[in-house]
Amino acid sequence: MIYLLISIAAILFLYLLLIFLVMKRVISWGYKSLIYGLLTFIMLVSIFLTFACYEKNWKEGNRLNKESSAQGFKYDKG
Amino acid sequence: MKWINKRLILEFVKRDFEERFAGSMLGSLWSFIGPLVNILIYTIIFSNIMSARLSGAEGKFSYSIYLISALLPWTAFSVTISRCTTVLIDKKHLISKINIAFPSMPLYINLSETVTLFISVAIFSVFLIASGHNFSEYSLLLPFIFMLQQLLAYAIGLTLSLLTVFIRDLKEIVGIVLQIWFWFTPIVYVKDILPEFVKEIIVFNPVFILSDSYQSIFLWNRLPDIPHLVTLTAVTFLLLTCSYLIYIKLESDVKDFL
Repeated sequence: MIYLLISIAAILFLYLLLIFLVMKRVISWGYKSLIYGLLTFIMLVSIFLTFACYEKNWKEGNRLNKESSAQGFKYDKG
Repeated sequence: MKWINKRLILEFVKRDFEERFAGSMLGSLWSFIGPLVNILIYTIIFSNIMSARLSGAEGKFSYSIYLISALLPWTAFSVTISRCTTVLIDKKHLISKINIAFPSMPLYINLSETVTLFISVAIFSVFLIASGHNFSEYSLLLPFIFMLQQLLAYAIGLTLSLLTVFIRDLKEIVGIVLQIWFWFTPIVYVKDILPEFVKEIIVFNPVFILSDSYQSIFLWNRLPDIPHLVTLTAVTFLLLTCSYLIYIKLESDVKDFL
């Protein structure tokens, strides 16, 4: 869960930073809106893929770690 | 001309809320009361009176959660599109006086409806917590799916707002299409009752991907279909680009017609 939160925070931080940098640049509004759109597209896809990665790798890893530690505890006690 | 004037749009959003509840004693409190009454009605009717249950889901309120979790976003989506369709005609007196780009008009409606959606979802979340429902980590996805949904509504709304200036019948057509779209999406009924060939083609319905995602998160506590969401994101941005190009192409003609 902590990896997921860190990843989301990192993506959002990077997204807002890039938006801020583009905002400060003097370019036409047509180009700016295109760049905002592209950045938003990349941000959304990154967030969705982060969740897919969490489901596939991190969550399963956490579950296995918990299960193995729980079994180990039982084994020691028995 | 500046494409988007942030202060003006925020002022429009504020005015939109004020106009909606102008003259009423409770004012903006109605934006809380409306969704609250809706949620209570659906819960009482489907869970208590009809005793509707979903197969595979536990709990007395499973069908109510299934229904409300997709119905609230659908309401925001459809109201955004239908209001955007006529926004340029409704506000032509403003457009002729203020130097404002046309894309700003559907944008303020979109923001206003997004605020309403957030209020409704907040009330729904309180109801879920009160009924002992657990939230999973996938709830963190909700703001991003809302964002995707409202971007899609904006792309469709902007195109329709421009086209309605030339084809006034679009207002009525959009109302009918939205009604058909609602019943072709598994919001009230479950996907499993559909024939096999419909199940295969229903993934091409963008609102199905959105409603299925909300139901997955709120009711089933599982991750929505990520490949479908990524595809929908790509389609949404393609539509946004198309609507922007249509705006560039039609801008001067729309001004003349208005």
